[in-house]
Amino acid sequence: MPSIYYDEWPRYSPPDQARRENTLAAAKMMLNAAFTAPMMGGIPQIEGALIWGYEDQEKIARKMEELARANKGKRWQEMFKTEAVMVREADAVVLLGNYRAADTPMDAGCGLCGGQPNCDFLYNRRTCVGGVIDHTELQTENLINGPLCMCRVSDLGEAVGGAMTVATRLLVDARPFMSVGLAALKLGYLRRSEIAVGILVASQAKSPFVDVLPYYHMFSLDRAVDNLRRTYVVLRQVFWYDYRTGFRSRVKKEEEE
Amino acid sequence: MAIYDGNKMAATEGLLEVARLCALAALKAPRVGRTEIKTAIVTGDDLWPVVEVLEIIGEGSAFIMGDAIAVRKALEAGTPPVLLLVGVDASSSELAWNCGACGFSSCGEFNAYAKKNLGPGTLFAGPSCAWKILDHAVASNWAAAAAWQYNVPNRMQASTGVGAYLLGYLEGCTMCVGITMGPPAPMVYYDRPIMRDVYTEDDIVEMLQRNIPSIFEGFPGDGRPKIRHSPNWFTEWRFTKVERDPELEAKAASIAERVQKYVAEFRAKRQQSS
Repeated sequence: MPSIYYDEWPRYSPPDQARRENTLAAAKMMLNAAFTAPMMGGIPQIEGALIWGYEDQEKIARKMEELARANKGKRWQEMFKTEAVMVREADAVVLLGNYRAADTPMDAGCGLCGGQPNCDFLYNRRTCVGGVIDHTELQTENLINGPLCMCRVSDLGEAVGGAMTVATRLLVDARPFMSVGLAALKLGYLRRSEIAVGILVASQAKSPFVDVLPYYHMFSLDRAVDNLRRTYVVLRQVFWYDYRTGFRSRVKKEEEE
Repeated sequence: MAIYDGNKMAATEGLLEVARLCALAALKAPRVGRTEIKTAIVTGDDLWPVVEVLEIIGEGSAFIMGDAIAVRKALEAGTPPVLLLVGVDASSSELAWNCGACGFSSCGEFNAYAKKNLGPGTLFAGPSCAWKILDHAVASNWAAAAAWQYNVPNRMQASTGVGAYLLGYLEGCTMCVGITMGPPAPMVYYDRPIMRDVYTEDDIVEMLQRNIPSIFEGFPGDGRPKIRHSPNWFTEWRFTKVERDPELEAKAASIAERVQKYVAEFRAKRQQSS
């Protein structure tokens, strides 16, 4: 292999794929950092996934646009729709979930979930067999089937922090999102977790995850390019022009010279 | 032993400490040539003149106005950012590489031309040795990356660089970028939560219509496509037009004049007090 050529445009062209593969290498290291992050008791509780490619990212984005309608709040809706665009523009999605938060809590009586010196708050609000939580039983109609063990949620945060630290060290842009994590959970990724965070990762000229426009799902770069494709082809057929004969005035001048 | 208010300390000493280390990084950065880099750190009330001059320039540039507002609001909230200036004098070359990047066939020719024609542009001054500009960019990148290593996100800005440069905060430069750090909160210079309510939705839609017209364009086969400005665009016709704007031209001239006046007065005042 004599050389590798990199570019970020057009999307998914061979030079862009080459670039994306490098982002994937960084995303993989982020996942390792998530696993080595400090956790209470060093107990294994994190699961992760790495998702990339046009089809899978599009699937998550569409799911987010669906979840946007799950809440009537305008801010929620715009957040989900905007972040769906970010998923499409990202190079990769790192998913991190905690598979202990719902059914195998820390059992330390820490007080975080219910403000009591025991875990009653959690156990009394979930379906139990004996004292064992059956997390397949739905407790709420909300997007997350809570309550969750806050110690475990905290450890998920440690994992996300570890992954983000590696992202800054490797100088890839990354940002953690609730919306991405929830959409991925609904799609069946990280199927043991009740809570997950999606970290979008990219290495592009401009971070896709900050400084966006309002109604971004309508005014993204892809939409702008798509609209140009829509209007441009018609434009060629408005005034008509035979490039072989050219403009009469210019051709005449050339002949005189 | 003592207990410190972590938030207060981060806002004052912490940011300054990071800025110091970033200045060091800028000076230690690798060079392609042999470029001398200049740095300065602007803090606290000394940022006010930068805000004021940027607000004048910002009347003609929303981009610069956004930076001015961000710094102003941080100052008003009592959590001033720390501004690291990284500058360079690129108007002469000692390299004798005769590379041609500047458009002259030798460094000697460039130096002679630059000596006679040194002058300001809308942002910085020129003409410039390409390698000095490049080395300056490497140095400012190293400074920004150093802050990043301390997990302090920052933003490299031409705007604050120009403001400080005009005011003479970093003398002897032809180019200067500002790297703003702090206030100690997430997402200060990205997404700009503090810019909320500065512009209305109508302002932004109008900006979009001017800048990405193809999204708002109706069927273009008429040769004069209607603009989809509202659901009634088919009956209430609107079009785009390319035209001169004398009002805007006059405003630009007035802005240039006021910036010059502000800078001259500030520099005179600063010289007197020193």
